[in-house]
Amino acid sequence: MAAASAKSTAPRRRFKLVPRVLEPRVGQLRRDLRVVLANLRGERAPAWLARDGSRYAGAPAGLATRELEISEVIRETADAVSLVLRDPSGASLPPIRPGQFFTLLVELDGETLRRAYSVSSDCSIRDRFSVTIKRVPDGRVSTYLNDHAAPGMRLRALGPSGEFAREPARKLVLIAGGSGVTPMMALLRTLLTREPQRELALIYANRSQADVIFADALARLAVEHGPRLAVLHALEQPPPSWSGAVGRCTGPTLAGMLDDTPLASDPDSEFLLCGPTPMMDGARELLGARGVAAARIHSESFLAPQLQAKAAAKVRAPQAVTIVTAQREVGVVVQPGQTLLEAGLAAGLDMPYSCAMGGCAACKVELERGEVIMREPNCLGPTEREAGQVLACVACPSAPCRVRVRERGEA
Amino acid sequence: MLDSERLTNLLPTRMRSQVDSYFEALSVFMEIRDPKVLRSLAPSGVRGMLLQRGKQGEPTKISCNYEAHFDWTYPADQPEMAELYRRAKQGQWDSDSLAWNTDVDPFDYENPLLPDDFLDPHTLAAELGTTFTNKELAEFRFSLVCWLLSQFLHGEQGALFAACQVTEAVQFFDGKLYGATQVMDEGRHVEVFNRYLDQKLGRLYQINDNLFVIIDSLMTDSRWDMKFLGMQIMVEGLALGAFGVIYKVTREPLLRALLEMVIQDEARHVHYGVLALREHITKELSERERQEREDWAFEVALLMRNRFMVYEVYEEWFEGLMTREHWRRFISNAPGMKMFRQVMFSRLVPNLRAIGLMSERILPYYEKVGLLQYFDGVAADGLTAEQMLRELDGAVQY
Ligand code: FES
Ligand SMILES: [Fe+2]
Ligand SMILES: [Fe+2]
Repeated sequence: MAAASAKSTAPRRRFKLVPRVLEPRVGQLRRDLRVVLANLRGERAPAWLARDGSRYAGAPAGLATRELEISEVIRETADAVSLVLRDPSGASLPPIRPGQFFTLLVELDGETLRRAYSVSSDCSIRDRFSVTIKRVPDGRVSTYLNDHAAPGMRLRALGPSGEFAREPARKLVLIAGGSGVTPMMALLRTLLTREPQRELALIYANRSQADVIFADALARLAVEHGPRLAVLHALEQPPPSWSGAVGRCTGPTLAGMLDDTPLASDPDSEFLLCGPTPMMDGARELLGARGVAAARIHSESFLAPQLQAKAAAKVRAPQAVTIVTAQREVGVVVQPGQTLLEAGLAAGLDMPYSCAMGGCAACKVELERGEVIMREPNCLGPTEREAGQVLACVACPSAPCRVRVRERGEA
Repeated sequence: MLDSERLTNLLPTRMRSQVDSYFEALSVFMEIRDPKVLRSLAPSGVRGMLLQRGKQGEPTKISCNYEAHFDWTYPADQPEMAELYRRAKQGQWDSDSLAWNTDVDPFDYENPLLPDDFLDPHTLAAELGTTFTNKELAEFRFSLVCWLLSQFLHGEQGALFAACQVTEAVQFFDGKLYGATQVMDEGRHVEVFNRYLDQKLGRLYQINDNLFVIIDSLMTDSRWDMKFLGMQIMVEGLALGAFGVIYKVTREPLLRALLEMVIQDEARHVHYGVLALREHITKELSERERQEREDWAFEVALLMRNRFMVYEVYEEWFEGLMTREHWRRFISNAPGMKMFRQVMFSRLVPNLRAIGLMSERILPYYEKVGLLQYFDGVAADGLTAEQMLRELDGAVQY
């Protein structure tokens, strides 16, 4: 109605040179002429327009996974395989530090399961790397990959992630239990070949001889790099002819092995631990008792995925969350089952993350108000927790929240 | 051939280049043998090349005239198309699931969008008696990528509307249902290319004149099978060639993932074209009508082979430094463009054969322009998308 009356009050055009039906044509003709004339004068409209990306700024985005292709499957033991992975197009991969891990996303029965696996190969090789996967009892992903991984298969992955062994000292004592040897293997393979000054010792504990991953590769490295590398094995159930240490790798057994390792009493060396939690706790205690300062001990704990599974299920209702970044403040609704990180990314926010499974702390945010439930265990330390920090990738809000995203580079 | 060089030598550079481009357009049309084909392409040629309707900076209106074909009995008439429809439903994918938060750095040397020697700029530099700095090379490559993807986007807009028209006009009912999925596919393609240009590259080039001519002539032709032939066989073939080459050479993971998905859709589209046209051309058309289609396809194939010269990038970078003629030679011999032609025609020619547009009478012409070598390839109805991707990953020479 309003439109109609507005039209009637518009001033009438006096003369109509061109009937209404032809008007569009005349307009077109005028434009055509203009173009031809401009062209002949050598004037041209700019060949392109700048676009600012605003149109899709709010479009939902998921985790930026990368696709990897299995190029080789190496059977290490009856219960462990190494997968050699590469970019399907042959592109080089981002730089990997020894000690880092990748999160593999594996689709099983319509569900996407995420698992972290440490890199076990020489990280100076840029176009491929390997991860080593030990079968976990009842572990769906590890069982699947042990039984079905084959060359040509493709996997989605996140990473590399993790701060373990970020700046290793020149002299290192590595203490590993079971599949905790994988990041150690990457350290050995990378550091020994590239840095002739390195001195390393590996103390490696397993249940039985059949469980020892990389047995041959370690023997070879020890021969090749002679005095710069010492490898000491401990077995809980040794075969009859066994000459190494015997028993669980705690207390007296470990103490004996440390006594046999000259590097362990060198005041300059650092200790890197990776293995089951009881073993690492025992080792830490023992080292402390032997006068090793805590700052010289670094450890990487495994996130037992079975434990984290159902925690997020406790959250039943959608929650309103305000996410504050350096540039803006955005309100999002986090659905049950969704993490803070997923909701933030879906809202087009530039939130930092790497492993997306609680293992690297890249996604740490400050919880200014509200309450979240985090999947446990994760890599957040007690001081960080006290300071009100949470890991966005494993946090599900159980009440309205306000979180602040750290700026890039901020510790 | 017109001796344009002598005539235009006297004009200032830019104007000369423009007049040169008119002469070129004219010579394209003078080379068309068949008056009927000329009559059907000429108006589009004028609108695209002379009037540059696609570059006027305003939306282009193209009037269309064709018949929508209704059938109130809903016959199950084409089991193969019904099967394709089923597959198309299952093959739908959500463009949001691509890794859009991948950081794309167009100037990254480790994972370049296009390899340095896609166009062989060093030879060009040598011919011009200069050298390019790394920065210039990177920027030149950036222009080229943006230009290519912009043309992909414009082509997809054409494909979207053509798919709509074809869905209305086709007389197979199973084909109409299938056509609906293709409309959805093309919409998604417009979205992903637009989003990539918008978010990752930040630059959109104008539509290339030749591409405009082809789209315009398809939209305005009132015969449904011409639309079909043009869109489902020729333009889709062109798109598959272009997508395939970029898919093969790019090292940028998001673009590669995006193209992989798009290629799978396009493979279905060409397959549909072959199914629909084979029936129609071999059974329904008179010999004279068939011959006209055959000639038309040949001319358009030539247009596609000879005329995608990336002039928009030339105008941006080299106008005044070299002649259009020189640039044409450079582009025609560039390794990337050669590969592009190879991939495109190795798909297109077998498809034309499969639908019956490669009779004895036209073979000598294909022979003369060197396209007959592709005659024995596999047509789209015998080729799966996976095979196609695998072939790209392996055999194609670069
Ligand atoms: S992203 Fe690694 S802990 Fe959250
Ligand atoms: Fe398309
Ligand atoms: Fe298509």
